[in-house]
Amino acid sequence: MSHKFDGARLHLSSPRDFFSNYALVLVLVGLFIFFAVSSPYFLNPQNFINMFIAVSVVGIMSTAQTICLIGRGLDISVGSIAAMMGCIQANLVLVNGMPWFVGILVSIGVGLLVGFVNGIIIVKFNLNPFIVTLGMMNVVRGLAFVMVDGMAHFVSDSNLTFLGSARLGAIPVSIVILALSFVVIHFISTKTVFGRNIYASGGNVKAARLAGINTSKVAIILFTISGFMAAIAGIVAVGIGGTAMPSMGEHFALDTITAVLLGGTSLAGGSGSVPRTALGMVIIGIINNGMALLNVQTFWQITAKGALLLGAIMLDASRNK
Amino acid sequence: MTTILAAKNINKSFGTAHVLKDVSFDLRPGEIHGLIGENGAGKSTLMKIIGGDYFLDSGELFYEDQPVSINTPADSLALGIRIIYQEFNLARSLTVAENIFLGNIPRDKNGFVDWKEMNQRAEKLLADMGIFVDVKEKVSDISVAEQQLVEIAKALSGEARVLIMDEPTAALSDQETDKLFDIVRGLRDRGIAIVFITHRLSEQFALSDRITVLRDGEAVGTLDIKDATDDILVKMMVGRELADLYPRNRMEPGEIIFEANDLQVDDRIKNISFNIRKGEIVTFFGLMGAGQDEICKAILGDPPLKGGTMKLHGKELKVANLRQANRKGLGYVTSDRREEGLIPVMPLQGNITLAAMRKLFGKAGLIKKKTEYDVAEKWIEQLGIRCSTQLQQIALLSGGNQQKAMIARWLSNDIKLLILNLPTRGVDVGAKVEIYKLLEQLAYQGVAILVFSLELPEVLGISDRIYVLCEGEVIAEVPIAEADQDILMKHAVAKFLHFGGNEDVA
Repeated sequence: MSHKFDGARLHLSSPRDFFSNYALVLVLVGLFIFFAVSSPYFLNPQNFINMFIAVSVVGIMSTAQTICLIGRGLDISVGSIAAMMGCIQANLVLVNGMPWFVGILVSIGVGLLVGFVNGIIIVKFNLNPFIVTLGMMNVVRGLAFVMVDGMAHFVSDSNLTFLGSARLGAIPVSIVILALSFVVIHFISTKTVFGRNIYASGGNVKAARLAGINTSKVAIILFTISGFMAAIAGIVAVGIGGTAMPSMGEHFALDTITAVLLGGTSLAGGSGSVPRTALGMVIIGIINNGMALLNVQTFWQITAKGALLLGAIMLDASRNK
Repeated sequence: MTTILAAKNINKSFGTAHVLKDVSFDLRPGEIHGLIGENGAGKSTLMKIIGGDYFLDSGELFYEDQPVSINTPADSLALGIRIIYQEFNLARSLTVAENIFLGNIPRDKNGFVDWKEMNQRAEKLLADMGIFVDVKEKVSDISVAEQQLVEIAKALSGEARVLIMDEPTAALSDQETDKLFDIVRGLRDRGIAIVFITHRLSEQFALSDRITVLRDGEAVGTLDIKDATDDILVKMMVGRELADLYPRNRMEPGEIIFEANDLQVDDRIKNISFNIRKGEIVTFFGLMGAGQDEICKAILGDPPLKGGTMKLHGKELKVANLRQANRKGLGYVTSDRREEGLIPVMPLQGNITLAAMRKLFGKAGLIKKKTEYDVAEKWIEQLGIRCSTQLQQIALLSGGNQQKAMIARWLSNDIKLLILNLPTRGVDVGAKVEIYKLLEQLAYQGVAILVFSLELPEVLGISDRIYVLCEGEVIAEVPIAEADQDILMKHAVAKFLHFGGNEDVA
C-alpha cells in the first residue's frame, strides 16, 4: 500500500518500500550500463532518437491508458482505433481524393467518437470495461479492413505523414508529440479537479459519487481521451511506417497495459501515475533497442518484456501485502 | 495446564510503526476472555499473529504451556485455533452445509460428494449449538445473523480448542446478539476457550469472564469481570478520566432551520416529517433496515424523493441528484465508512477536500496545492485528527480518525445540513466523545444535524429530540425529557406488535 496518488513525490515508510519504489529506476540504470558497455552504438544520440521513435506510438496511447487504469477502467480497443486511422485516410484521401486535412480531422473525430461510445456503453449499461472495449476492438478492426478492402496502402503525402516522419530541427515530431502527451496527461491527472476525480473514482466509486462527483462523466471523458490519444498515435504510426495497414498494431493495447503496469500503476485503481508509465515505457524501449543492437533475435524481446512485466507485478503484489 | 494459549512480550512493527509493544496475554481453558481497546490499539494485529497471518518480531507463544511457533495459518489451525473475522469468509453461492465443510467435504467411496452425509452432519453440528437453519439453503439467502452463526459452525467443524471472534455482534440486532451469547456460553461450557473482541462494553459485561485492555499497542491490564466497571475500562482504554461518555450541554434550541414534510421514498418508506432547530441534535432511532439508508439518500436526491417537501432556512429545497446536494450544502457521513466513505489509497488530505474541490477551485478546476493543503490542515487541527502527515494514506489511520476525516470532508464544503448515519460505528470511545462534542458545536453554529443511530445509549446520550422509525415510517417524536430505552424500543417495534397502529404505547 505504498502507491502514491501524487505521483512525483514518493512517500517512503520502510526500506522495502524504498526498494520497490526505486527498483525500476535501478533496473533502468542497470540496463543502460549493460547496453552501453556491450554495444558501441548504444550511446550514439541517433540511437536514442530511434529508440524513442520506436516506442512513440505505444507511448502516446499508454498515457491515456494510465489514467484509464487509475480510474479503474481499461481500454483494449486502442490498437484497433490506431489502425483504423490510416485506413480512414487511405479511403478518404488516397482512394476518394479528398483533401489531406479532411482525412486527419475525420480520423481524429472517429477516434473521439469510438472512445465516447465505449464510455457511454460502459456507464449506461454498467458493464465491465474490458468486455466492452474487447467488443469495440473487433468492431473497429473489422471496419478498418472494410474501409481499405483489406489492402495496405502506401502513404506518401507529406501532410499525412507529418506527425510521424517530419523533424523539428534534429528532433522528430513523433517524439515531440510523445513528450507532449506525457506532459499534458500528467498535468491533467495531478493539477486538475478532473484528475483528482479520476483517482477518487478509481479508489472508491461509491464514495466518490456520494461526495458529489459525477463519476459517470469521469468515466466517459476518460474513454473519450483514450480514443483521442489512440487516434493521434494512429496518425503518428502512419507517418512513421509510411503505410496504412488495417492489421497494424494488434498487440498495441497489451503493450500499453504492459508499460502502465510495469511502471507500477495498479490494476486495482485509485493509484499510480503518468511518470511511472514513462519509466515503464523507457525500460521497454531500451530492452528492445539494446537487444536489437546486440543482434538478439526479436522474439527474445517479446519474452524479455513479458518476464519484466511478471517481475513488476509480483513486486507490486508483495508490496501490497 | 494453566493456560491453553499464551503470548509473552510480543513485539511487532510495520515499517516505523511499533504496533505491539511487549504485549502479554493469556487464555485459560473454558473461559471467555474479552479483548477491548480503541481502533489501532493492536487487537487485530495480536489476533493475526496468533492466527499465523503475521509473524512476530520478538516474543514467545505458548500452547498448553509449551512454547510453539506459529508461522502460517495452517500452524494455527493445527493447534485448534479458529478465528472469525469481521468480514465473513463464506462462499455466498454455496449452501450452508457446503460452507461448513468447505475444504473438507465428505465423500462417498467413489470420491463423489456425499450430500446426505454432509447435510446430516451439518444439521447435527448446528443443532448441537442450538441453531436451526436449513442447511440446503444458499448462504446468500439467509440473514446476516444466520451467516454469523454458520461462520461459527464452520469454525467448529474440525477439532476446535480456541475460538477468536472479532466484533461478532456488529451487524446483529439485540435479540440476535442474545442468541449468539447463549451459543458462545454453550461453547465455553464444552471447554472451548473464547476470545471475544468488541467495542461494546455492555457486551463484555454480559459475556466475558476476564477482560484484557489494549491501548496504543500495549496491554494495559487484565481484569476479572467482577472487578471491572464502565469507568475503569474506559479509563484504561483511553488513558484518561471520562466523567461522561455523552458530554451534552443542552441549551434552549433556536428557530427551525430544516424542515421535511411528508417525504416519500418508495411505497414502504413514507410519511417522513421532521424538523431540526438551531442548536439541536435530532436523532432517528429504529431497528436496522427500518429505512435509514434510503431516507438519507433520498434527501440527497439519490434517487430523488417521490413526494414531500423540504425547507432549508425557510427556503424550499429541491435536490435532484448528489451533485446538487453537494452544491446546496448537504453532507452525508455514510453508515459504511469503508464501502461508501473512504477513498482508501488516497491521502488524508485528498479525502478531506474531496467534496469541496469544486467550491475551492471553481469550474476551471485547477488545483492550487497550497490552498488544498491549508484547508486540510485547518480541519485536521480543528477536529484533532491524529496522523503523521496529512499526506498519509487514510487507510492507515484509526477508525475514529477516519470518521473525523469523513466529517471534515463536509465541513470543508460549507455545510448547512449534515446527515450522519451511524456516526460512531467502528469508532473508539475517545474519538466518539470528540465526535459528539463536535456535533454539538456544529449545531450551535447553525448547522442542521441529523443523526441516524441504532444504539440506544447513544441516542439517549446525545439527542435533543428523537424520531422513531419503524418499517419505513416515522412512528413517534419523543423529546429527550420523555425518552428512555423502553419507550423508544416499544415505538421501534410498534408495527410488529400491533397491526397498523401504536395506540398502546403513545
